[in-house]
Amino acid sequence: MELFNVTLQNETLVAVFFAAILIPALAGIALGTVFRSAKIANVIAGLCIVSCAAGVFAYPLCRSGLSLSYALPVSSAVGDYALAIDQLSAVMISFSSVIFMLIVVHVVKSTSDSGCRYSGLLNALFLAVFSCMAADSVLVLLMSWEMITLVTFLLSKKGNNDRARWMFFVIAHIGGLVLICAYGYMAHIAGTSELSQWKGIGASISPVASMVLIMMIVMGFGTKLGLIPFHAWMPNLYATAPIHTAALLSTVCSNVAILVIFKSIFSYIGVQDSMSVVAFVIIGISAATALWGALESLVQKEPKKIMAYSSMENMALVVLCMALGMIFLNESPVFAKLILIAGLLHTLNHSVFKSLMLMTIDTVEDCTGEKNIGRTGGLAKALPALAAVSLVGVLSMAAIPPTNGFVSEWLMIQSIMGADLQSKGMSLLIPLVLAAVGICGMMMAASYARLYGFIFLGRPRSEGMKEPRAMKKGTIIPLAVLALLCLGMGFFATFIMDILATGVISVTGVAPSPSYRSVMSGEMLPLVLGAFIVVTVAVVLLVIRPGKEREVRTWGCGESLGKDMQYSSIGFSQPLVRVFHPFYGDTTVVRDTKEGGKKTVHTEFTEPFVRYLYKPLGRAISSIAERIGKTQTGNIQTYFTYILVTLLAVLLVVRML
Amino acid sequence: MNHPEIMLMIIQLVALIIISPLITGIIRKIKALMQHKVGASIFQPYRDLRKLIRKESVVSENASFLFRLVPYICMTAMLLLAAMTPFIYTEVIAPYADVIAMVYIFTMFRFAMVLGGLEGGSAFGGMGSSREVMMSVLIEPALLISIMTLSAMTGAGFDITEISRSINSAGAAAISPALLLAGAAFVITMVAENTRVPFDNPDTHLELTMVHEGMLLEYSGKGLAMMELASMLRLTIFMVLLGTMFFPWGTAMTMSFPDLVLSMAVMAVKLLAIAFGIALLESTVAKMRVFRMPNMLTASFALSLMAMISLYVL
Repeated sequence: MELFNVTLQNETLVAVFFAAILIPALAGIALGTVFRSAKIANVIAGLCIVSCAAGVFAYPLCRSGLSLSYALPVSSAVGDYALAIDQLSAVMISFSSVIFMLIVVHVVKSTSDSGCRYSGLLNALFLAVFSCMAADSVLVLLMSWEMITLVTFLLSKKGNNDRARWMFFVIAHIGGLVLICAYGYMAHIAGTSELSQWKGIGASISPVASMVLIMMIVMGFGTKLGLIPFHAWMPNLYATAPIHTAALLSTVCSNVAILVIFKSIFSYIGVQDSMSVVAFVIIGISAATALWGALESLVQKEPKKIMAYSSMENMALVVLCMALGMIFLNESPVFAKLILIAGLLHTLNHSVFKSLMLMTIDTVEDCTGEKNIGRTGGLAKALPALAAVSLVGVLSMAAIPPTNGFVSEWLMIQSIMGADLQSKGMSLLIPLVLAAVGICGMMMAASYARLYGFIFLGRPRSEGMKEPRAMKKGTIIPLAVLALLCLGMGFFATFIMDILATGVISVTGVAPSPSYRSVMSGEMLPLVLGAFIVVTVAVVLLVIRPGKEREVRTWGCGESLGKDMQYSSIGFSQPLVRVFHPFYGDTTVVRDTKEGGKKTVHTEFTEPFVRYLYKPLGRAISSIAERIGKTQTGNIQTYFTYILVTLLAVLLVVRML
Repeated sequence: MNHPEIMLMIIQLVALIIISPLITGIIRKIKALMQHKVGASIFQPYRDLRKLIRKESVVSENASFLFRLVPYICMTAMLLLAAMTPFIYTEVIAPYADVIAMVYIFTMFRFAMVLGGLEGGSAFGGMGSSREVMMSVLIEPALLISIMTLSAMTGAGFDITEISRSINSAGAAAISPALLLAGAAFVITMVAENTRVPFDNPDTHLELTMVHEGMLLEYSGKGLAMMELASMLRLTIFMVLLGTMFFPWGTAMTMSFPDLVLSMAVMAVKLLAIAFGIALLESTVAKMRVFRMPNMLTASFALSLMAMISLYVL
């Protein structure tokens, strides 16, 4: 391979690639633990950017036919510490590296989350994410997944948010534990720890065991993706953690989870005929999660919580696609290909628009100090560039053509509808899934309109919004790049689909022909529609030129409008809350104020899952613990009695066996 | 595709755009006659548009670039839809004539309008947007599912022309529970989406009743003209879709002259019948309370879902 006029050996190139990723990141971690000065922090973040930049080359190198693999010279009892990057992982690594890099650039540029500790941990997170996606040994996979949890836990410290952090930590670890069991068992049946040797190991176990394994894997990774009932940590953590941590969790870490679930189900375990039961269960869970996320996002007051529920919804849709892929795989494989491509494309698209929106929210908070959309408004006048860039993000999230969000939803709907299922029971699933996807899409669009409208449009609702601080120089750059990606991936989605198709074929082992394009409606539709939209807007602008204009104050029925004399964010979603009342767990509280005769009215929303599942569970565990605690008297004689009783019991049991 | 065919498709697109104010005028006229009034001329909407487009715009000082852009986006969305609507001939000029894309272009229109409603910073716009959003959460899925039912029923994929053609050529055999249920859902969606009575009253600016007009309140001059034209186009597109997708019999499938004349006549009858239906509905039914609307909209959603389920069960 020719590079800079120097002919490099392939092995050397691979070594350079891995070194360029590992060495800067490791150096960054080391510097982060040693230094504390603000100047070094930028150097450390710079090292992380270098690592990310190297990670971007994963796909080009893989494409050029190199086998990207590396093993540490030491090995453990379970196997080597090996990394190997296949085509699909390479796509994911390249893509996630771009997103990671842009987020780190924003960290450097913004004021909110900086410092050596934070930057050092970013390096650790990138390393963990990279090795989890590139893992070729089950040990590396589990260790790096664990490291992602740990590092994000550390990264999310901000102020006094221990409750939210620990909730995340505990729930993520329940997931981790399940995963260790699942992968441990899989390593046992595979007889090797090398993941590249695991293809189709599910064939040697019973379908029931395979289904249990699939369920465990989806559940284990689902704790991070926010599948119900494991989503309770998300809104709180997103709202209290540094927003870049939330952005990384929502985009890069979700990509990892989706990639590993995808490979585990379709490559390692493999899908057999009799496994539709588990697919049904997963479809049920993910559809419920998507609906739940969409519903809850409508009433949130904090933009970050809206984003948390939106992440839930989007990731649930991706999982839904995978579950449908499992059903389609046996009945109409070419549609399985299509829906899996749709799911993976949505994962990529989600990470673009979600990181864009989360960083926008961070910038808004930075400039105005407001965290509640009830007190924001009118920012488009003060920060037009930010408003324009985030408009692209919002359109993309709401799946409005010609953005990338539209393309993946369009692909999803057509693959759900197109599949030709033999059995009637299964085909009944199609209308229901379609209805769920349709309702979710519309509700999320409503929620994003509310988010954008109440931050950027209307009149300022508080003093801070009237004259916001100017944005720090350069904060807009990563946002603008992401906005361009939103549009570019919308227009040129077909090329990304082709790349993903190769990955899907190699992982699932579906025959490459007939190609997914043969069943797709409108191969070039995203590009054509996009071009038509642009041209039509231009033509309409030319034909009906903006004419004379006079600026006046908004008419206030003869009064001058006060800052609260406009629609409120709570009022905006109130009709929907009334329509879907039973799901919200909303209670209206009327309280007396100290001034005589005056009352205040609040509507409070508590997550029903927290109220009816987590809290009772917590109480039950505490009360059991208390009862057990009574036996622990601290008296040595009692403990001797326990030992004696245990010994007798064990002996009796052994004797009887 | 040859030249005369392209010409024909362009002519039908232009015709669709041109007649849309007329349709609104006709509905208003029928309504007036039913209420024993003389009513304005059926060409009044053209005059209104001409008047508006000549006037200067009065824009709120709180409004940003988006406020000025919204009418253009709405207009674009409707023009794109008009280009993919078969009117008197089943082929359409648009190369993106995909029914899923169609639903999303409707969403684009709605999304732009909701944002525009929030721009002025008055309570009216916000109220309009809020109610519109509530309705759309229930309407849009019904629209999606009823159209998808047609696609699944005909097995013709997502191409609007193919769907229209295959129902048309199946003749009376195409009349099935699925088609009727989906058609019923589509009619309710049409009435709701175009904010007609009983969901909304297009003629009032009363705070308590308005949905669509609330969002338009801040617009004036050219902006208002575009928004009004877009709304009229939306109504016409819905009516034409009902006539060429759900009940397409009579629409010309070949380029022969008698076919086209027949198709034009049939289309005129269909449009007049739908216009009469809408006028009759508006004259006889009272507007619903805002929180009654969800019941009706859920009914439309349920109908569309039943239509699709009936495909797989029956």
